[in-house]
Amino acid sequence: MPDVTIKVDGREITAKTEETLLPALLAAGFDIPHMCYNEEIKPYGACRLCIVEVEAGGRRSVVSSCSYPVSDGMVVYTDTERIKKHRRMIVELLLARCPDVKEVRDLARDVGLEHEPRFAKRDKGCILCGLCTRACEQVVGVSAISFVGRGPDKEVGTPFLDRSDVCIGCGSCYYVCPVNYVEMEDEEDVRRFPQWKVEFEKVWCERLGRKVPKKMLEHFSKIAKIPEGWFEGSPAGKK
Amino acid sequence: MDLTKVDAICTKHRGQPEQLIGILQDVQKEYNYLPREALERVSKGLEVPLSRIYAVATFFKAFSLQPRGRNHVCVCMGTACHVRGAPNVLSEMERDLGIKAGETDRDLNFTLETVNCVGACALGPVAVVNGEYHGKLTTQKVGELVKKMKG
Amino acid sequence: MAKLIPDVKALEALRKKSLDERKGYKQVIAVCGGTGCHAYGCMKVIEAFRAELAKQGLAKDVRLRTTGCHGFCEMGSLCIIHPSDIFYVKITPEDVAEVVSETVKAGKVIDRLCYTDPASKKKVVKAAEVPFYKNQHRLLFAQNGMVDPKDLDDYLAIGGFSGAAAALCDLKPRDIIDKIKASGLRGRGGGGFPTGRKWEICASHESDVRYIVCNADEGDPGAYMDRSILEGNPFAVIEGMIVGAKAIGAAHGYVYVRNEYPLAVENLGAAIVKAREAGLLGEDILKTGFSFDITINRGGGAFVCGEETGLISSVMGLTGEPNPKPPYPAQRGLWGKPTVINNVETWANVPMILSKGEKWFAGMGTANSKGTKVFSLVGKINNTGLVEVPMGITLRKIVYDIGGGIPGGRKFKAVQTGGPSGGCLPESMLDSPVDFDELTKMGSMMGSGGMIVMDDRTCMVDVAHYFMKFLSEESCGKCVPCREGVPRMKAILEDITNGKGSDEAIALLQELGETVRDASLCALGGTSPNPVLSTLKYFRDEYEAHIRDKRCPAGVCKALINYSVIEDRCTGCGACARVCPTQAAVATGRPATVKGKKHDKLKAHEIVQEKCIKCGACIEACKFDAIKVE
Repeated sequence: MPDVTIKVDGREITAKTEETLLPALLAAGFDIPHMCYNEEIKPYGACRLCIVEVEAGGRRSVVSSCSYPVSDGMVVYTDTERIKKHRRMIVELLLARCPDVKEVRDLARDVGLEHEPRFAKRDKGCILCGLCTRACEQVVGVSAISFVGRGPDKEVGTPFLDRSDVCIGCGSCYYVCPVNYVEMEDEEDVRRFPQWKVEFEKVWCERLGRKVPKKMLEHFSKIAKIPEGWFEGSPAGKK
Repeated sequence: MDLTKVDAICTKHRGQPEQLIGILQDVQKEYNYLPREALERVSKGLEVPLSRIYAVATFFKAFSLQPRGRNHVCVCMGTACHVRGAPNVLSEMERDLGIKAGETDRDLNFTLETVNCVGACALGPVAVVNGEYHGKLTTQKVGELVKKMKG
Repeated sequence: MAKLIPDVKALEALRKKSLDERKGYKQVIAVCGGTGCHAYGCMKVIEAFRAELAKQGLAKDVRLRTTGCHGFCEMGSLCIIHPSDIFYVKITPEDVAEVVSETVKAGKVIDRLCYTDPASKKKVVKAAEVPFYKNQHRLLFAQNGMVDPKDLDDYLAIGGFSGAAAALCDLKPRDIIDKIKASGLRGRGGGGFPTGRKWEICASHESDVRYIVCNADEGDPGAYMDRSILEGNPFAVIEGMIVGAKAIGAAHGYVYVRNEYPLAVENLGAAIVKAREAGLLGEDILKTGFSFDITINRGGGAFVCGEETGLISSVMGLTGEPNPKPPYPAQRGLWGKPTVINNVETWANVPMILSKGEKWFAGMGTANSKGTKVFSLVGKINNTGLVEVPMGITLRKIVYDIGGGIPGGRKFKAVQTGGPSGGCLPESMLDSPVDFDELTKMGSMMGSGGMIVMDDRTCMVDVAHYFMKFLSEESCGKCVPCREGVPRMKAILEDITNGKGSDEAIALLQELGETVRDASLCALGGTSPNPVLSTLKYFRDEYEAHIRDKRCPAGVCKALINYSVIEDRCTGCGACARVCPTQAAVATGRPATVKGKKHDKLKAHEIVQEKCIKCGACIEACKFDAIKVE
């Protein structure tokens, strides 16, 4: 596919047609805050931190750049007063929700929020970006966790907030979380996820050269149709 | 718990995952709520992850994961009812039944819920009791209605 | 079981037969069987009519027809007798024998059952003369009174399926789209997007499969026009969807309907079965080679599913979380395929445009809003009901000429249009014309057509709080501005109604409201601050009275009001004490006043403030206006 040219804050940059705005902006060096975006996972458009203004038909509208498709000749503004004002308010709302989360406090500093949130503080650790649930579904293919409930009381959890039967202990939810909310206790022979109420026995994997959850190896063997015992073998595939 | 009814419901909907909400509605109709075992059975029957079913069951207001009362009282909190005094009707209902909106009494006799509009605005304030509409409610009428329900 | 209609010739033959059959009846008694009338007990009235007609030997000459909603819900149970057009309201089973022997047999009008115009206090005999009906322009709703929703022949007799027949036999998809575009029809569900343009975008998008969806998830509290159409004339919606399917090349359609509307689900379901049996849905419809069928999806109770991308998620069996647009559903909708979503009222307009012509349709309304619009006129209004009016009519005409004004002679304060995310418009806007663009200009919106009238006893801060409470419960919780922002707005408003509003509250509401409006993911979030922003604009003095003077001018906010007895009006009847749930209303030692004179034995009452929960029961019970709220 041919590249397209877009004009961002007066500067022309190129982007791939199948791309959305955010990766193009990041690649071109624009500093756009974002928390629910990961290039391996389908855009979700939930945190609204990556908002920009897009000009079309003489009108400027506020859109989330992570989900907005690029088109040739489009005109984008990333740093207008309107965007900065809205972004600060969004961060203020997040900070009122998660006043003790370091990543959110850092973000507040970055966007120039100089005062404490003007709303009553809650003590949440999770910003509900959905990266963990989407990684679990789209990347791992397991769907051990999901959103539970809706609206202000929504949370992330396992079915019935009980021990998950299907979690494989891969830790994707832990690695992908932007605010270190998901807990993983990784010991020599066991890996635990207190929030999902699961723990996994670890076994030696010759290929990876370290101990990993047994259930995870079994899962990937099954979906990739890898012969039994392959992971226990040497990296070259020879016993 | 007889779970073959769940299988029958899944079959009726031809085992289509996109009919999930309809299936859960039918399951709830059968058991008066969504029992955990039934949801696990739906998950197997439709080959849909249990987490997705749990997400749907907790997202939509119509579903209850707790057993509900034999009598279902639903007070309409739509705008037309609101400006005509629905908040007073609801608090009277809560006082008379001894439970708050969203709760079920200990004997599983009553479940009190609110709904955002039943589309019977000319009758506002309205409550639907076991599928039957009661219109133009006043705090006094609520008292009489509850007395009648309690027998 | 309905008979199979093999082709268009057979359709026309059946239509003629149905018409002839209906001509065989000398009179028709059309009894409203809508949800509102159901609550008034219309089914017993209908049964009584059936028995009485049989008893008096009239079953062959007089047809009894159970119809969908007539719109005048305030007056149920009601019936219209054709062809005399005699209109009876608030009838009970006990009235039925008299109606049959006096009116149907002898042609005499029963005065007591006629409608009394509250303005002139005069009795009105004919339906067409009733101000509520007379000032409307009823196209969709006229059909509701003429058909039994479960009777396909009824629908054929009023010209039903002629639009679909034309679309299937004579028109190319492109021609249909051009006709809809030329009619100027815009979506009745909220955004007001041009329908023909939407179909065009969908049809032009390269794909092997396309879908049609009917949005019947009418979640706006205080709005029920879609329910009434679906309940009263489901074949019109089916026909509209067939036309749309042919235009974009879809083989399957879905109707996503609220489960809180059991009668609509039932009637639509029955109509789909009949249409299928008659061969009007399914394979090779009317031997035209075109195939199309419809599935009903019942909603699970989430306002956000009225938003089209939320609805799509829900139809696919997922939670109803909306997705960012673009891509629009017309490009990538159900299962990633191009999908046209229109609401019930929009679909119901389509057959008329095909059969009566796009020019006819475009001849009604304003420059950019064509046709009629159904509003649900509710709240503090004399004539509650569904009204259908041409676009461009003024709010004043709707509220006063059709709605009959405010009950109890009270003062109009505001009308809220567009559902929970619409705005509240003050008296100064009453002469503005009602169409898509004008309402948006005024800071409100058309939405799906809810119209809630408020009088001087409605507190606008309380109303704003009500909507924010509603919307924070209905937010799906996906994006930050809506999930975190709307509950914060609700909390600020709660403080204000409790007399704890700070001086900065108004400015913060404004600032927060603007971010939620501009930065939310979907239309629900984007329009959610409207009730707050519009009341801040038009009713700021009420906010200030709550914040600065700790006073609720309308006497609604409980923390700021007190109930008390006006002693020289109190007759000591004790009605208040009997109904008071907390024994706050008690007799004093002082004598009551009966007919202007002090009475020794009856004692004046008073309200013990510490016990009073301000439930309003005493006001309802007092017949002497002796209780005041300050």
